[in-house]
Amino acid sequence: MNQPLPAADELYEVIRSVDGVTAVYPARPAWQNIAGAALSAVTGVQLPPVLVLPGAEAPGTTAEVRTRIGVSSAHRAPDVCRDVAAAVRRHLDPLTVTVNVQVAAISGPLPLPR
Amino acid sequence: MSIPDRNLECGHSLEELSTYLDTGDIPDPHHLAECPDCQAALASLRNLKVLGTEFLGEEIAAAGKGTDDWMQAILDNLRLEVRPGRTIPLRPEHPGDTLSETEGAITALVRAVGDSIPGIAVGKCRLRGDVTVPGAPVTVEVQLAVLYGHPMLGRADELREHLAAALARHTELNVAAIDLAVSDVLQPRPATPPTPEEPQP
Repeated sequence: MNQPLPAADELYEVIRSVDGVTAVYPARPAWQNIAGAALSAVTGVQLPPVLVLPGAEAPGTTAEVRTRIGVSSAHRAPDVCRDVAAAVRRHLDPLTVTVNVQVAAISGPLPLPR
Repeated sequence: MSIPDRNLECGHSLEELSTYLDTGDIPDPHHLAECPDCQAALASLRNLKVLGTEFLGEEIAAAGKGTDDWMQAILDNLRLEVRPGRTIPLRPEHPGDTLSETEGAITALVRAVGDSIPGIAVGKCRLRGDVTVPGAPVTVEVQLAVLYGHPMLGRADELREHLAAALARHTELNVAAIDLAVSDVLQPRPATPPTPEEPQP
């Protein structure tokens, strides 16, 4: 049975609430968003920080989620990245999803060695 | 600071970001909240500004005059580094997921670690090796400007230790070596002698 794609705003909140996530950036690098940015300037509509795309193989039952995040240096960035993917998958269950998460910034107080 | 006016990938320039630090003015302030490249550039510019003001004198740092070749070199490198760069893979828990870090995030991390150590400014940072292949050996090359009077060997050891810890914590790179090179030694500005009052006519 086909399911509606999840709302990007809803997923933004899910991702933002993961421990260690400090920011959710527009899902694609800015140079790929030029057309979108021009549209945004005209319409005043902000680009979504989370892209939700229908799955290529079974559009009605699968989806692809893409996002870019900032991570606090108080948390291990690879762990936070995996936690985000797991949180998205849990939230969208039973929809079959693939998740693309990219860490675009690591910020905050730096850990002292050992 | 005199800054080369060349744009980042998002369209902003270091000049605009420097002006924003000085005046708080930028045409689209909301962009700064959603651009990791601008955020990394702002962090480095803040550190450079503090360093320049403290050791070159406020007027010289503001004008970008005098012995600021090191600062121009840092700014040139900064322009290259504050962009996403290559995609560095992370191990996914679920097959089919694609997890990664940008090269720009990691060079910004290296720069932040270096800048957090007193007496050091990171001039150039490069990840040598194929960072896009998991497990491939990677060499981290960092050029430094060190302030005169700070012990270089002690600072280099401290920085290498901090970098190794940060990279082990925040990446899954196979860091084979961390090569540090001191490219500049900065001397504090000599104290300005008092100016004699001009005779009144």
